[in-house]
Amino acid sequence: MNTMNTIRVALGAALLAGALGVQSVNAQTTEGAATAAPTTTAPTAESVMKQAHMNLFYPADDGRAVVHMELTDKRGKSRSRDFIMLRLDVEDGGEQKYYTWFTGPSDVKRTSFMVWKDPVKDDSRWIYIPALDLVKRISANDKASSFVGSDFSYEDVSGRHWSDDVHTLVREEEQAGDMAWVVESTPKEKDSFAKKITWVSKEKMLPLREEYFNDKGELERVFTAEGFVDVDGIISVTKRTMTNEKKNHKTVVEFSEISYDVGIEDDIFTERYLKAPPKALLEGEGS
Amino acid sequence: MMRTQQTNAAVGRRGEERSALFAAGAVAGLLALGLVLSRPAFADVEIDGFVEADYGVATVEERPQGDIMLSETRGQVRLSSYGERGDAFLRLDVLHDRVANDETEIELREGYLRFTLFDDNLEAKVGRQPLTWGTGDLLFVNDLFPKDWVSFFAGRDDQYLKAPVDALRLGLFNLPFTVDLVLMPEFTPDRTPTGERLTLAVPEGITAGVETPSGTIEDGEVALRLSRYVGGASVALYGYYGYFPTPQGVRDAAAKTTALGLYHPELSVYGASARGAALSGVYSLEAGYYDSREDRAGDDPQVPNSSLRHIAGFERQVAEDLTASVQHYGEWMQDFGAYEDALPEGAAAADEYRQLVTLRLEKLVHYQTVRLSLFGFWSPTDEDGHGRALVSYDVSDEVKISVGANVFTGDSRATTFGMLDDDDNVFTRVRYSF
Repeated sequence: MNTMNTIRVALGAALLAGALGVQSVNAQTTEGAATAAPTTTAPTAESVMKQAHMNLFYPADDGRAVVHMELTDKRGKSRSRDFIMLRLDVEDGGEQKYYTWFTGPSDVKRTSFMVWKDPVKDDSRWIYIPALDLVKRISANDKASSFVGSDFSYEDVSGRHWSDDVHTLVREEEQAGDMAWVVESTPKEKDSFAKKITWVSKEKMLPLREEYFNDKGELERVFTAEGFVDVDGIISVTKRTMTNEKKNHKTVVEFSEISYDVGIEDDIFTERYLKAPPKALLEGEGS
Repeated sequence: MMRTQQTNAAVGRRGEERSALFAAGAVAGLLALGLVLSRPAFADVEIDGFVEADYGVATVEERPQGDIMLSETRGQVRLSSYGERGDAFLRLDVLHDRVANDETEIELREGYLRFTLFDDNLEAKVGRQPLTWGTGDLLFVNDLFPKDWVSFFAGRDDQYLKAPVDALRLGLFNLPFTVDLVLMPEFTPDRTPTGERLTLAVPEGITAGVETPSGTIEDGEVALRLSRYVGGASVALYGYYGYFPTPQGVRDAAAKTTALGLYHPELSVYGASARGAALSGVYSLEAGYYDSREDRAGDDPQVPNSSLRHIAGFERQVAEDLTASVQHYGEWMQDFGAYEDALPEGAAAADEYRQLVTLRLEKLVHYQTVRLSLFGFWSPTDEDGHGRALVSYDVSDEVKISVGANVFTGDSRATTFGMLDDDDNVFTRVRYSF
């Protein structure tokens, strides 16, 4: 009764939600970054990547978002995933908890998924399959693999720690209407990509574009963030796309009803609420 | 585990039982729906479900039951409503089963109302529902909730492994541990092979059918779990008071004193489990003491001995989109000496320590639209085994096609899988979800 498809779908989507639903920049940190980056002295590449990481994965103390995901293959055939996501930061820049409730399509509807993210050790992940009343713990050592049949890897969306790569600031240039730092990153240990180039918006301190190259120097995947919204002073991404250039496959993720500091309690992230959606999930306060 | 012990002559009982269950469930379901509709606090009722066609054939020739293992058309409708105070859910199957009776039947799979009381500290879920707990993967020690082994072995979708139960489930929260109490007013047995679809080997001398405990409240079941997280691990204690889920006892049939029949002996179970992360994977450990209340001395060969049962399992991802898991299961008879002494002359003795190992491999390909799954059971003590293979393809969000096979092996008809040796089958299923 290990419905692995469902598991993969939930697993990936929840991580995606975690990473994307909360992709934003805190007004204060933007200000901080701006003052730290006068025209005369550029910040270090590592500090740019760290700031972008924090804005991307740790805005406010908690958050809620409604997510729609569209996967399109090379023949133009598409599949979709819809879910609502809750996030709680246990420690800023450290442990986090995510809760995801699927609302569609029909075959995964009412499935729920929970992650206790640990930046140092493997994450703890659970899925609930309602037709069997089954809570399943999932092994979580799979950071490089694709999920949900999407173009994001688990790591893309759960947050690759900035200290895993060596970063070099290569130039500044305009990207999608914003001035951006261009940072080249190479993994400290052999990994699923050989090189990554990131365009980080100076104004938003968020990645606007990422290009992933393999060890032959070929472009494999391209990430873009498009569409931003200000939620209580926090700039949040409303649309994010990952394209696999080699396989001609694309994943688009759109966010709505984004809210922060909803007052999500720690006990939401337990088996009780895997089995029954919490009120905080359904209500969408503050949106 | 599904110890059927060469038994299970569920002749004629299925129909009655089903209608009784259905009536009870329908009442609960209607109650739930009624409350939903009359309560403005609830949001709209959402409807979804699927229609599917299943077809399966036995691969062993000249089976007395014929070649067709599965030939059915099914529709499932789900109604759900979530509100301020709780939620209500209804899952209704309309099944036209050409193997069983060629009639169209309605089965209420779920129909419950869930609500919270006492400032969210107590949650009640009342009505028909599937129930699962424990850490095993297709192996069960502390989960005594009813299973449908016929669906499982004949190739129906995984969700049909769990037979629905009419129950009141209470959850007590915000204590040092979570308390789950399940009250089942009527005993619900496992659905085991009856000889109609899957082979049934009735032990020699058994001429009467299966007796199930009466539908009175004294014959109900109670299950309890205390659980909490310790670090990243989940630990739990369990208790159960009821009956063996499969008819493993032999006694004079109630109606005809000259005939021997099968029945469900009284059973209590006390157990514990732990599950957490280790070695980049997930480990699980579970044990339970099966107190066979009618044979505490262990000297009645017609009633199962008390036993200590355990599962140890480990799962991890071994390559991209490839997950492997292994489990070891054991069942250790507690009064083997007494059992052996009491056996009639010449009767074959069961193993004192029955063991089973399982292996699961799951591979996802083609942007995870294709799932390849293999699951194997092998018992070195019973010398029997069971293999399950499944390939499924998500053609779109709506359409899913599955093809699978079930293989059984074993020289003795007295073992779980050996009994089903002639029931090897292949099946296919097409489902449209809406």
